[in-house]
Amino acid sequence: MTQIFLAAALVGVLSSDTITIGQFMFSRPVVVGPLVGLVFGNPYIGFIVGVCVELIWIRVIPVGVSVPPDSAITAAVSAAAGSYAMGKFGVDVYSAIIVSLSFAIPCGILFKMAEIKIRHRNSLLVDKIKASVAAGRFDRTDFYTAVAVVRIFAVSFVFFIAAFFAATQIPSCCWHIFEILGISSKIAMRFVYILCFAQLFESFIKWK
Amino acid sequence: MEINGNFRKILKKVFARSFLLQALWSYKGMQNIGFLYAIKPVLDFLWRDEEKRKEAYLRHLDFFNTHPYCASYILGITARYEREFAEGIKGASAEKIVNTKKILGGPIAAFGDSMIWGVIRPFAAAVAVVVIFIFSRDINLMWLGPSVAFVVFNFVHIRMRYRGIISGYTKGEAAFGEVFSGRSQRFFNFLRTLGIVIIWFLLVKGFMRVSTNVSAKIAYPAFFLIMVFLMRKFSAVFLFYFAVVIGGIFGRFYH
Repeated sequence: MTQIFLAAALVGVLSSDTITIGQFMFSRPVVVGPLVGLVFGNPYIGFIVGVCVELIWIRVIPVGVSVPPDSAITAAVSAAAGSYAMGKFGVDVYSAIIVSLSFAIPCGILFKMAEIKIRHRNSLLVDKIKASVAAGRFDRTDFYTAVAVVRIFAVSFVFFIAAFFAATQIPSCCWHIFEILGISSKIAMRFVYILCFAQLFESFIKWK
Repeated sequence: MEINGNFRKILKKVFARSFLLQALWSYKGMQNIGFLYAIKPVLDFLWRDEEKRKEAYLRHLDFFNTHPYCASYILGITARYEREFAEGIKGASAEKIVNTKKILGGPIAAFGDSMIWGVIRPFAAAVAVVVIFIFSRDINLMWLGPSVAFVVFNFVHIRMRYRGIISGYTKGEAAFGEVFSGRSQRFFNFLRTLGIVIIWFLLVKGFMRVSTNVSAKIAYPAFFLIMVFLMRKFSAVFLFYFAVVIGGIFGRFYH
């Protein structure tokens, strides 16, 4: 349980970097994945998951009003769920990665919806801040900015715990799907890698 | 415009606060609250009279949006124009401040989106991936991947944020010369080309050499080309599940 709360706190801090504070790249999947994997005792799965999530959505960029799926949450949930499945069900690393990614990608999209909701709520603050300034309360900007930082931490923290709990409910047969169907998960994983590199390749060509 | 001792401290505060530019991003004003939050130390220093300060705050609550890193140039220029306006320098006005922000936001955003999100971010990711794969047998050395990417990305990021504020303030609109200069374009083109070389290195090393199976040697590059073709028509999420299904079928019959 301590491990889960520690990971959730870490995700809360790292997720704040996505938009709210800095955008230093702490929130990139290639950083979040290994760190969450490390908390769960399996940084290797975190590295592979981080690389995959980073590259799958590398071409999706936050231009204007568009909100991309949250890659930090996706990498965190995937690394945590994959590590959990390897420890509990003894699945091989590639099966754990593919199944956990298949589960975590919708989580990233769900978190994007939460982000959109937050942005709608922020719209209400514009009028509130204008009214505060008109009343001579100049420090309200600082106050609301601090609230925004705490809020994104709390939302990420709770979301990660909920998503991880949901991942633990995935039945054993789903984690062993490749074994049951007689599929080489290593070969299937190579196709995911190819998709990732194709995305990266296209991202350099796209802006020419 | 020269930066004196007191104002340098204020610009450093603006630099620190610029990292929270998007904390209260909204559909109504986009980065307007963040911009006000960042420029606040300048306004508090220049406008001691409460009514004047209110006006200054309110003019920065107009709609504003640009690339978060490149916004530093606009913050620097705005700080300069606010000072000129507060000191009553000829030609300075509230309209000039508001219009400059409106006019510069779009072009700066276009530059930031194409160069920062379109080149630096994928380049840093490519560097991380190549380091992770090179050291994939040693978990300790794999940490070099994210570390190197972090340094590469933030070298450009933090430099742009700090330099943007300082040159925006000292040079005014002439500061954009350094952003849109041929030298800067050449640097980004170099990174783009290097990125493509890295990807080819990863492809050749990662897939062609590991397989002795002829069908796999054909299937991997063919699938790569299909993906490049399909990604213009389908979303990244759809393609991920598509890759898993195709990989599963291939992994069932060709191992």
